[in-house]
Amino acid sequence: MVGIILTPDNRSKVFIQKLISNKIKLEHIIFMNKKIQEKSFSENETKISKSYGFDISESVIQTLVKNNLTYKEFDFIDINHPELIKYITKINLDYCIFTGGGILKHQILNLGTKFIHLHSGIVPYYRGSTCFYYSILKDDNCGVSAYLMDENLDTGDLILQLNFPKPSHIYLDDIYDPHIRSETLVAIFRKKLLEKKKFQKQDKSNSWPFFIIHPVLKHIAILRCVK
Amino acid sequence: MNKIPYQYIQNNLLTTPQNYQMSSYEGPDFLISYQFSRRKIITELEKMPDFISYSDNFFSSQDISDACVIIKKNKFSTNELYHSIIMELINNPKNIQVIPIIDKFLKKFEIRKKIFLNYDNEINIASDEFKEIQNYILLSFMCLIRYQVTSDLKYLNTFLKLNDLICSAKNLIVNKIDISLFHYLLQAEMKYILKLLDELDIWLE
Repeated sequence: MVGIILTPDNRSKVFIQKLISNKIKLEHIIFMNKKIQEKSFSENETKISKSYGFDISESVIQTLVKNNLTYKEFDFIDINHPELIKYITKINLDYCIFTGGGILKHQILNLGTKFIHLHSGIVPYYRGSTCFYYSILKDDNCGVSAYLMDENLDTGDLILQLNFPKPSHIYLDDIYDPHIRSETLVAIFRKKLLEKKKFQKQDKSNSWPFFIIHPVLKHIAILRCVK
Repeated sequence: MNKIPYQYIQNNLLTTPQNYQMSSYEGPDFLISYQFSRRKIITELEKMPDFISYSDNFFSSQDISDACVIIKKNKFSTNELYHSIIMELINNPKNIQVIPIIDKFLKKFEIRKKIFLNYDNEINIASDEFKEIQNYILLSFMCLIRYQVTSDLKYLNTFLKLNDLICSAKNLIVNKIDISLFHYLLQAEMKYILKLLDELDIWLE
């Protein structure tokens, strides 16, 4: 059984829309929804998102309702919340897609459910934060690593790694990053990798992570995309 | 004249740390503002009394213990450790013994955005004081040397952040050597940013 934990953010929007459009059905959808004001997007951002197969202006709740999907809603956003842990224990998932937003603590990691994270960087070379930009600067492309989460940073067993070309627009954080993560997620299901369970141990020798990219380097990376 | 000021040195980053999270894209003008801001500070440093150009001799005459010995003390001076590491890096830039020590302090800076006067032998904070600007200049210098040797963007990234912090608190730079060293660091930073732009075929109008 596979489930997903959604939150009211771009990554969740893209993940759920791409799963639906690729006719991938999950047994459980959990929505942690604090009813926060969602970010608005320009016409151009919406247009570009549609060219990738999703609509960034559509909220998670709109997608769920429009597609008549059953979901369990919580009024908090906390991946380690006791109520969420109790619920996941009850539904007994084999795998749960974690869209991000917080560090999974010991208790939730030891439930028996394996949490899948999609990291926008090819590990072990790109661990840590904003790796997306560093790989554009260094390698002129982007990558995603899907792995089963453990208690360390980006070191869990690998499910799939995919490389992507750099985008040709400036909307990297809001559009392209969730797009390539969601494409990797869809590929996991198409290739039936969770059923095959052939996960690969990571080389953990390169353990020094990247930290949040400085705006000067971020601008250079974006300008490399649009030059 | 630039339309947008370089916003990352507007506040004193020693007292109001900048985490750089989800920084917004401002277009090529941002990089022009950055260059303008750095050049302005370089000129200000050159106009300071007793300004002299940096030379490796700044570090050569000092009698300081080995970094690996200093770090084993129950409580050590960050400044003493940093001087020792820099002397080692200048004499032998490929010395691998001091690299894990540098990396630990880079990580500490990236997380806390502060460098404390003293640490213990497990590199835990052993002082409340963090406003010694020379320590930030010295760590910045280590980043530069490591970037020159490795071309690893991790070092360039922290180098830029440290230099932002020092620029934001430049009124604390009074020591003649600090003035000259920071002047050298900013010039080097601009040189490597321009080199990166050039390598990636990015031209700013």
